[in-house]
Amino acid sequence: MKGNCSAIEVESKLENIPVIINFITDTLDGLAVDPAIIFKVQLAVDEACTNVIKHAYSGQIGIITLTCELLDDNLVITIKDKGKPFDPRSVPPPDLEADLEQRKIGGLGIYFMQKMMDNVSYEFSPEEGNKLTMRKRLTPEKAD
Amino acid sequence: MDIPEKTVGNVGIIFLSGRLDAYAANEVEQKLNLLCAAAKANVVVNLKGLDYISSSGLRVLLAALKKVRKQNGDIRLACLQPYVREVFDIAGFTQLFKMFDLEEDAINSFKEA
Repeated sequence: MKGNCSAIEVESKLENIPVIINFITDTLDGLAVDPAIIFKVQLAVDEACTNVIKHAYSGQIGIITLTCELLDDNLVITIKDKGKPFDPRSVPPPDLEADLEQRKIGGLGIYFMQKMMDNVSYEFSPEEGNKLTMRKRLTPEKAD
Repeated sequence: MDIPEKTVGNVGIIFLSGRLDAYAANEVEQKLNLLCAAAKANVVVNLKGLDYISSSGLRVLLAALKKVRKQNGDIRLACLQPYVREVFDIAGFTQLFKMFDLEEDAINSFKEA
């Protein structure tokens, strides 16, 4: 990463999901991050961006801006869009114990975001739009 | 995604590879719909070549499983890679799908009464 931050801007199309994920992988590969952590970050970013692509712009094409920053030992990823306000934390978690018939088809994406990352926060402003911030510690906590 | 398929006896096998994200999910959904259309469809999905799956991929597999089970068929999974297996575990999908380490075992499982 140049300095401690890199960024990408793409149109909100499903075909850009691999572009976004390659950006994340290239950035984290360059930092020699553990592959298990890269996988988790990829999945969280994928889910977040897929939600924006599918819902934020009501079928129209908009812009998604993603930044990736290293702060101390924490990776901080922000995903911004100017679509309709949507707080992913407002979605209830899926019922993981439900049997096949009761099991709902959707709802897992946000759950994965929260499971894969250490922290997920959300802001909205009329000027900036939606801003989702996800944090992940890159090395395990040292045991005392 | 290129999705090869083959038939062994009355079992249809498809091979998924690369990444099953929201972009690839539509194509996989169409393929599964074709395979699962018949009554009592027996389908094995070989995931040996699959490096990655997101909730969109899980959604497509779950929808197909619901459909095929209503028609007395089944979809069974083979050769899951570790990270993909972890995603299934976190989503609670391990209890929904029968999974096998080897494709042959998945195919043979349809022979059992």
